[in-house]
Amino acid sequence: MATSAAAKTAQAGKRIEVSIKKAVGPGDDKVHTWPHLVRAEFLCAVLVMIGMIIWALMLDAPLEEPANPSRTPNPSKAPWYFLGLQEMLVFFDPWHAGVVLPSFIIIGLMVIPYIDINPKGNGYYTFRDRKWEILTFIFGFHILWVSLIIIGTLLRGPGWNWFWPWEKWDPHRVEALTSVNLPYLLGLRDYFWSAVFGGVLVVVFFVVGTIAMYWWVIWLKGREFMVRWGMTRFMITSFLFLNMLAVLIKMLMRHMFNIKNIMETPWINI
Amino acid sequence: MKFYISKLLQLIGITNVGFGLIYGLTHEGGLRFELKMLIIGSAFFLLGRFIEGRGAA
Repeated sequence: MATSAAAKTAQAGKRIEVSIKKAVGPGDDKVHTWPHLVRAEFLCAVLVMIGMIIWALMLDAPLEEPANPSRTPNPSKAPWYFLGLQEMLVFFDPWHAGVVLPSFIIIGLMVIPYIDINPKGNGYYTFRDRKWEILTFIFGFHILWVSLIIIGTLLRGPGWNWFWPWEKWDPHRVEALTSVNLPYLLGLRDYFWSAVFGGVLVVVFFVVGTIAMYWWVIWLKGREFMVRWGMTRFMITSFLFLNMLAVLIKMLMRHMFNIKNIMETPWINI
Repeated sequence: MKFYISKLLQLIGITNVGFGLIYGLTHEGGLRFELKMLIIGSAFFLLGRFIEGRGAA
């Protein structure tokens, strides 16, 4: 009866009052995604599209002249969203910056639902209950991704040299390539032992880092949490987190001490 | 001029769909009106797209 009365009122084109029913069973206080949520999302898409069309009609795209192989631009830059990757090429070999690290990013994003066992924050926004999860995201996204895009876009000029905003982009500027490998800096001159030493350093970083993270998590969240989390989840999280940390450490070593690689072999460099 | 007329028609089409969605959000009842607006909006949009044609304006 109530439904037919509501339909009649709706047909008359008037707003209707729906009596509030107290939720008793699971799902009573929920509505279907379609149309209740999708309708609003689609409306947002429509509004954005209208705005984009008007914007595109009023503003010309900053396109340059057709590419000329006899007059290549300097600096030659990727689209802005790839400049983080291009910036990473300063610090890593192409196989690492272009294949391994992006793969880790994708794998890391895929495993988040499996390694995150914190049920808090579902359906509401909270920082206090998800402090470490959010801080890890900020570290990975804002520091290791967005900041690299900003550096690549604004601070890298001709020759991919570092130019501060107040410096002129001089295409004739030449910077001495004085970077050295870490084993060389520590006095090792032999290629073989330098590679062994560098490899040991990398392994030690991951082993010590994993042990340190294990005790850190126990100190932070308690042993009960670690049991619930499980060794597989912890190891995956720890490996990915240590990789994030390693990227930052290596970039800082290059910027601060001019260190090129930690381990250098004829095949791979890290 | 043809370009702006075609874009205007496309905007009218999208706005029609948006209007239907707003109506659906604010009124009770089925999706009949929204679907009607979707069809009319699509017709406007496709007409605009047809007039615009291919290639540079």
